[in-house]
Order: sequence, then structure tokens, then C-alpha cells
Amino acid sequence: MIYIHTALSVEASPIIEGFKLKKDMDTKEFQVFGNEDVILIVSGVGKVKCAMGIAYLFGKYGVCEKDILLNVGYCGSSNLDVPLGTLKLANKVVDMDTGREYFPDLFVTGYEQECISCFSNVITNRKENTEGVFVDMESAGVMEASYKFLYPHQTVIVKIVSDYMDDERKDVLFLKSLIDKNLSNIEDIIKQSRDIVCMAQGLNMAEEDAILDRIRANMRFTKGMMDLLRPRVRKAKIKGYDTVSILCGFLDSKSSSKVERKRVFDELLKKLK
Amino acid sequence: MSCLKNLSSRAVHRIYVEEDAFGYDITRKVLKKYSDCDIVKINNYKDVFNRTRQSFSLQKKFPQLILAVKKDTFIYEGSPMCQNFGHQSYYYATFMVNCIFDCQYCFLQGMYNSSNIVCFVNVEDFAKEFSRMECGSMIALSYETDLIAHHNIVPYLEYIYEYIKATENVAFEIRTKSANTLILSKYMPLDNLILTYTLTPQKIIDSYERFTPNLDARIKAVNHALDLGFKVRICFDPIFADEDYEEFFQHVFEKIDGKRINDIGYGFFRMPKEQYLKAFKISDSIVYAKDYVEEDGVVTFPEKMITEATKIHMDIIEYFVDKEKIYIL
Repeated sequence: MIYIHTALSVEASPIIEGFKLKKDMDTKEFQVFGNEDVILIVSGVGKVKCAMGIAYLFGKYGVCEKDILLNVGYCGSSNLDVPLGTLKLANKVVDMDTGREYFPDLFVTGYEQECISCFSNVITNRKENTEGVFVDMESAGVMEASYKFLYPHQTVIVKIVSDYMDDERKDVLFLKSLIDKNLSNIEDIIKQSRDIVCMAQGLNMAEEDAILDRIRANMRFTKGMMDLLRPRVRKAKIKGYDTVSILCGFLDSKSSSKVERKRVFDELLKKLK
Repeated sequence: MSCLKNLSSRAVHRIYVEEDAFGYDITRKVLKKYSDCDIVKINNYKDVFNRTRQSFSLQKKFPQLILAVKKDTFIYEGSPMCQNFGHQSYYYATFMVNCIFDCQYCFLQGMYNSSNIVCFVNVEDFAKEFSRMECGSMIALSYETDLIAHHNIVPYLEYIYEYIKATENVAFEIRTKSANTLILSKYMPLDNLILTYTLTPQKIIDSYERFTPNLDARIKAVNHALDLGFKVRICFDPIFADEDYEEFFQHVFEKIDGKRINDIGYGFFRMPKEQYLKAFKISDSIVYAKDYVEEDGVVTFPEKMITEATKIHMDIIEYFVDKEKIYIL
């Protein structure tokens, strides 16, 4: 699943339109949109709301090693030479309140990479003490949630320069257009991230795990037995055994007594050896 | 714009640099060489290296460097699972942590959360410790890495050679699988410097030693080092007791004159149990699916297999190399 986080509706709407996402009407706590591949949440501004929103998403929809988390949002630049609408990827995030540094494992290429300084309030002074020139209000929250639930290569922080840290109010249509113009880049970043996540996948044990769960239920294997069994199945698969067939041979076994359970367990281990 | 295409060369594409490391010559040299890399300033290398969940295998595919200043311990006591080659005491120095090669059986597989390569740039602080070591001890310099293989990235030998030369009463070992013969020509052999080449059958190289040079290239490197007058140790370690080595040993000693070799290290695959379990979790390699036994917290081959294989192997090796030059673990 591709999880996309934005703080504001104005950041989200071009993505919702571009990816043809539908609103999840069952979710009241946050605005959530999705289709079969993508789920987008609008969390509200600030790192706390952002971390809460992402944790909510992962809690509700589940998260695994194949998922990707993308934060798409505006950032301010203290460098007036950077054109508005420029897309940056974060290779480092600094929480300016705590000084904590976060590092996504960024393997996506083709885009400029920068450090993002994350503040708790709006910065309107270009001389503010920042690390680097780009500031936002969510990236530290994204990384805090990411460190908890994901591998660092599963998170990509996409920032689009929207202002020069000044007080000037921007037109909503103009702000939308900054995301709109970067939609194809966002699609490319998602594609690259998918490839990267696939490369990190280890041996696929999904089928074996599903059969093992059924055997466990039938045989009432204890947790200790399963802890012993799972690595044995994996080892056998690495050795080239047809583990699915071996396990399927035990699907009809039922536990009638502790003795029978032990007998079946030993027989299974023997087949895997 | 696929990153897979752009990064497929396994070239270093990002360098994390500790703030304190910027002032060192090695850092300047590396950053000059990799001026087109993404440079990320960091406070402490552990903030990157010690993150809890990292994909070891993915980082192997896309190597990233971390330049850092080592702060506390510079020399460590060697593990009892390693050979001391007759020296009174055995130590190791970690100029670098992790390796550009990807040997599936390597203890580094289960050692750290990250496979990013850490390079400590304060070589002088390591060197100060060299002079404090007791006479007759040995310090392994390539313990958690392969210094020669990384020479084109960070040329450590340039920085430590003079210190090795000055510390005559201590033996230094640089262990490698690299076939880089060019760098040795720049240095004179030293009595207290031993170059150790790990040789393994081509089948093992193909199966378990990703990105390493082939056997014949390594043999060529051994002969080149010998021709230059370096003391050369050959390491047959790890041996897999379930594989055939007879032809391999014959081949090696047909190409290398055993009498010119300083000594031989010989040992079977072994790993502390905790580390083995960690490596098994992250690796799909058949190395961790073999039928080992556990004895005193060490995972290795059954004693009977080791005894039988050792006998067969020693019959060949001892034909070419004096028995007293062979160190078996």
C-alpha cells in the first residue's frame, strides 16, 4: 500500500484528483481518501497531528514491509534563488524543538536532496537559525512515526517550495498548481520507491505462514512449538524443499490428545529436516 | 529515471559526515573524490548507523559512507574464535566498519543493524594506541572490513603505513580478498606487516562471496605481493565441511609456491549462536540453512565432519607447506 500524508487539504486535492481517490466516509477522525493502491490522509498542520494521523492510518489499515509512506507538503525556503514549485526530497530532518536528527534511507534518484528543518510554528524570518535553507512543520512528525513502524527506506519526504518564509499570503489556486505541476514527479517517486521496497523483500513465506496457521489451529500447537517450527520451515525452504507440499500433508491432522499433538509435531519436524 | 538503473553500479552515492570529521585530511580527500555525491552533515554517526530497523541487504546494494571520528576505544582484544598465529596477544583496530564485499558467511552479517560503511578519519588517535601495545602482539587492521578492497574509496594504507613502520615490535595483519595489485607497488615490504589473502574455491566465491574477485585474480595478487617481497599469509577460512576442497587446494599450490608463504590460517565456519540467529533472520542464504551443531554457544559443523575434512585437507596442504606454518582453529 502507498500511504500518502499531507497536512492541508490544498496539498491533498491535486493528489486526490490525480490518483482518483475516493473519500472514506467511515472515517470521522481524519479526512482519508483512497483506492486499491493508495490511501491518503489529511492530518492537519504540525508534527504532533501528523504523527497522530500516520499512526491512525497504520493502526486502521495495517502496515507491512511492502508499504511506502510519502509525505507531500509545502516548505519554505530562505534562499530566494530557489524557484517556487521546486521539488525537494529530504535526506535529513531536524526537529528544531529538540535538535533530534532523523534520516530516511533515501534511494530515490533524479531529484535534489536537502535537509529539512522542522519547526512547531510558522517561520516568517529568513534569518531564523535553521539547518539548511528549507523549513516545514511536519517532517519530524513523519519521521517519528516512520521510525516506529517502518524501515527508513520506506519513507520519502517530498517537499515543494511554496514561499520564501515571508508573510505574503498565497492564492489557493496558485498553491494547488505547485502540487499539480509536480504530480508526474510524485508518480515517478512512488514508482521508484515501489521498486526499492521490492528489492528489500526477503524470502516470501506468506503461503507457508497461512498453512502453518491452519495447522496450528487444528493441532493446537503451543507458541513455543510454533517458535521452533517457523524457522525450520524457512530453513527447509532455503534448502529447496517443497515446503508448501510438506505442510499441506498435515492440514488434515487434528489434535485429539497431547500425545497425538507431540507425535504430529515431531513428524513435521522430521519431514523438514 | 529509475534509481535501479542509476544506482546499479554500486557506486557510493551518499556520504554522511560527522561535524567533527570535516577537519581531517581523509575527509577532505574523500569529499574531493566524491564531489558529486549527496553529502549529509550529521552530529553523531550512531544516529544513522544505529537506527533500529534498517534493511541490511538493501544498503548492501546501495552503499553509503559515513565519515566519523572515533571517540573512545581504538584497539580491541581479538575474539577467541579467531586465530592469533602464535602471537602472545591478539588485538584488532576498527578504522572501518562494514565492507563493500557481501560475503554471506561473514560475521558482519549479524553484527550491526546497518551495512553502511563507517570510516573513522582520526587515524592518528589509532596510531597513538599502536605504540602502547605490548611487544610481540598482533593487531588485525582489516578485522571488520577489507582495507585493501576499500583503498580506492578511502586510502587508509597511505595514512597508516608510516605508523606500522614505526611500531616494529608489533605485528600488523591486513586481511583481504581484493585482487588490487597496484597499491602494493607504492610500499616497501615491512617485517612487521603481513598481508593475508583469503582464498576460497570458485564455487564458494560464486555462491557466497558477492562482489569479490575470482580465485585466479586473488592467486595472482598473492604472487604479486610475494614478488614484491611482502610477507604473505593465506587464509583458508571459513571452510565448509560439506564442500569439496581437494581440487581447490591442488590448484592453489600449483599456482603459489607454498614455501614462499609466511603461514596458513585454516578454520571451519563458526559463529556465536546469537549472531547466527540474527544473521539467519535477515539472510536467505543457504549458508545459514546448513545442518550445523551448537557447542558452547558456537554454531559450527559437527566435530566428526570437521575431523574427517581436516584430515583430507591437511594431507594435501602439508605436502606443500611445512606443518609448523599451518595454524588450525
